[in-house]
Amino acid sequence: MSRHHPPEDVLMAYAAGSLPEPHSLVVATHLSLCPACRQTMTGLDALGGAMLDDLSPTLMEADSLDRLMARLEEPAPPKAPPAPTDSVLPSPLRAYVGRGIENVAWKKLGRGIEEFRLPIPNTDGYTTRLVRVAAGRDIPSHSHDGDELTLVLAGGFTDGGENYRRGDVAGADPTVHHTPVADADGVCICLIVTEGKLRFSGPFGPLLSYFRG
Amino acid sequence: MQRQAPVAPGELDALVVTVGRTRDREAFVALYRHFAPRVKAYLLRLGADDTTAEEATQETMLAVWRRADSFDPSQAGASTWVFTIARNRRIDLIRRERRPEAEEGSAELIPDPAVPADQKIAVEERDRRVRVALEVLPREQAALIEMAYYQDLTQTAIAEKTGLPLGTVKSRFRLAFARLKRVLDGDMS
Repeated sequence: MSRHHPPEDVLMAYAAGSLPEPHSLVVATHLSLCPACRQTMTGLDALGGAMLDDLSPTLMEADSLDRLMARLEEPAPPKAPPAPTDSVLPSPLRAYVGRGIENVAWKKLGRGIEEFRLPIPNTDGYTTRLVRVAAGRDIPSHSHDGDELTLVLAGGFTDGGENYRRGDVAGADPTVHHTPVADADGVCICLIVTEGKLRFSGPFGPLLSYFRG
Repeated sequence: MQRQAPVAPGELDALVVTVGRTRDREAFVALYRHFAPRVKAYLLRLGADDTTAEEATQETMLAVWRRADSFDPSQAGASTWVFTIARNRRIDLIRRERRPEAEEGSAELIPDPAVPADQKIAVEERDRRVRVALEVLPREQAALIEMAYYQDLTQTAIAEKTGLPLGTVKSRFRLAFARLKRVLDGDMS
């Protein structure tokens, strides 16, 4: 069971349909792993339904209904089959990665850290990546220009006295300056969405220039 | 426009089920008369121009027709179901983004061991509670939720638009969310 959930405003923006795609991917992946948030989401969807009912109806074009009725027998576009799932990547994320976790083309960044960037079109200003950290290693001390959202997929990490395991989500805003450390019990794999650039301050910061986004 | 009597939520559910089972065009027209003018109003509120809102409403209603057989009134009421379709069509057609979603009913979903199916609140009760929550929310919190759902605004954008400090927006939002969750969880106070 997840103990750390996405921030409330992120959940609500997902329900409202206003959340950027990279963050929506974090939420959808978390929902696959968290029944409590799925329950919350049904309530937030119901909120959208109630608000839709309360809207004053607007005028439709005069031929709108006729045009619609004429289209009812059009063949429906084929439905894409759901992406398969594996022990690390739930299906919404597996669909974006495009391959199983064992075939991910990791890029080594040094110090036991590897990354794989997910290509999501039209998301300038955000970086979406899988990050794999060797057991017990830390990600050098850093802060960000914007918000960062991290979802644990395998292993776990500790940051600011809190421990995060599979399914858990950690949010960090620009005021947070942190040094997450992977748990000692195995490799830690996370999905991380970063807004703006990362700022490294530790002694290893300059080595990780590639990480800057 | 034709004057229409308001349709009760249970009636809307029954209409979708009928469309799903028998492809009943009359039932579909009744759904259209209730939902199409609201879906279009929703899209206009979010900034679509009239032509785009009209097209996206057509696509939403077409999806209602095609997917009516997958509608499950024990999961969501008709208005909620149509809202999710309209929301996703908007993301697809107007924002031109994909909408990642957890696959409903997929075997990989971790089931909730804490809540047996017979203890979950019924859909009608949930929808009733949501309405109560919307009515009892303090004005400034309700306005915030409206902005999230109908203006596509992030908290930062809401702060800029309203001139309120970001911290105030965030705390009002948390209060609104907490109250909503309390009401959904059964504490009506």
